[in-house]
Amino acid sequence: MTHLNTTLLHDYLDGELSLDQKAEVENHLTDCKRCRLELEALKRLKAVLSSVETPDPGPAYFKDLNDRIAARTFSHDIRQPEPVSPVARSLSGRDTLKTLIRLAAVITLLFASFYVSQIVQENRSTRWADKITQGKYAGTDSIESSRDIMEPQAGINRVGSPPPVENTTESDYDIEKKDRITE
Amino acid sequence: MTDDITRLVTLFQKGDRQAFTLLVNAFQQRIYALAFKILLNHAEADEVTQETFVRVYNRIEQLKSPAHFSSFVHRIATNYAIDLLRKRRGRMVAMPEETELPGSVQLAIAAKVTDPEKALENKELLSSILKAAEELPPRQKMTLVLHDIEGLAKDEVARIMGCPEATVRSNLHIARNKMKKKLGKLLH
Repeated sequence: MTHLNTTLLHDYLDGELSLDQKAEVENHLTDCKRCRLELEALKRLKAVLSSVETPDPGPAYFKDLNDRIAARTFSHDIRQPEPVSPVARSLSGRDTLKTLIRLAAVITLLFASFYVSQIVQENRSTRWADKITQGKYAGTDSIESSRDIMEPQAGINRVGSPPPVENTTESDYDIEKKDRITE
Repeated sequence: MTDDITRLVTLFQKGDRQAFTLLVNAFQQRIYALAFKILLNHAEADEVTQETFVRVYNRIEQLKSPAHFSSFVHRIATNYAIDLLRKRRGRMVAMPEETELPGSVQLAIAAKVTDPEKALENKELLSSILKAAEELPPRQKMTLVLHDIEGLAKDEVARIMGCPEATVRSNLHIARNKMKKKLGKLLH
């Protein structure tokens, strides 16, 4: 004979089963002595536990307790008075520190992005200036020069890409770097 | 009653100290009783009650919904009691004899039991049950106390313990089964 599982038994004890489940459990209990004894034991345990009476230390104890709590709270009041407005609240205590940290992070990000864009722009303008001074685009028609711009050739890299590793000849990139160092 | 508590909590959150005093008056007996049932010891129950209200005072801004003040207080009390139980496990504090308890602080059976013989039998059983409960892990014991002794609903226990209702259910079943095993024939 299969017996009721523990969960079902406890849920029955706590009155948490649906009507169908309850009927099923009760049906089983009429035939199964073991489950009946199990349930009786749980019922007795629960009944005794629920009969534990609250101990009463008396009104004098609670008066004394009140005084001790008051002594530990009112005389050492560390709580802030209620902020006047949400703005004041956001600027009080720990909130101020959080706000300052966030502000510092935003400023740092702005400076970093500005610096990076400056470097990128400087690289680009230096390269074109060099090419123009070397006369690389002199005498070419507009279609050729635009292809020149769109398609990277050997030794010429797109802005921001590293020089090809396999290229052992001195590239425009290297020349650029040297020029910038000597400047 | 609940509305009055909610109003007092709101006033207290605005800095009204009188409201705090009234809240202490409203909850101190409940918290002391809960702590006593968990720890079975007046000195520790007193410590839990006092510390709970000091923490309530200092952390009241963390309470988002004043209507949940009762759970908030109970949660602080149970967490502190769990800490004491854990500390106690290392040093095995013996359950105090009734004579050690101050004044009328004694374990007793509810007045519902009118038959003196039955009351005595139940009292002996209760003493064995409480001793067996001492050996439960703190969270299982806490669940048993809150649900079966204090009579709180499972969702309320879950809010106090800060865990899902399914965990409360499973802790409760495990705790009851362990108790049943330890008490054996006493329950039959």
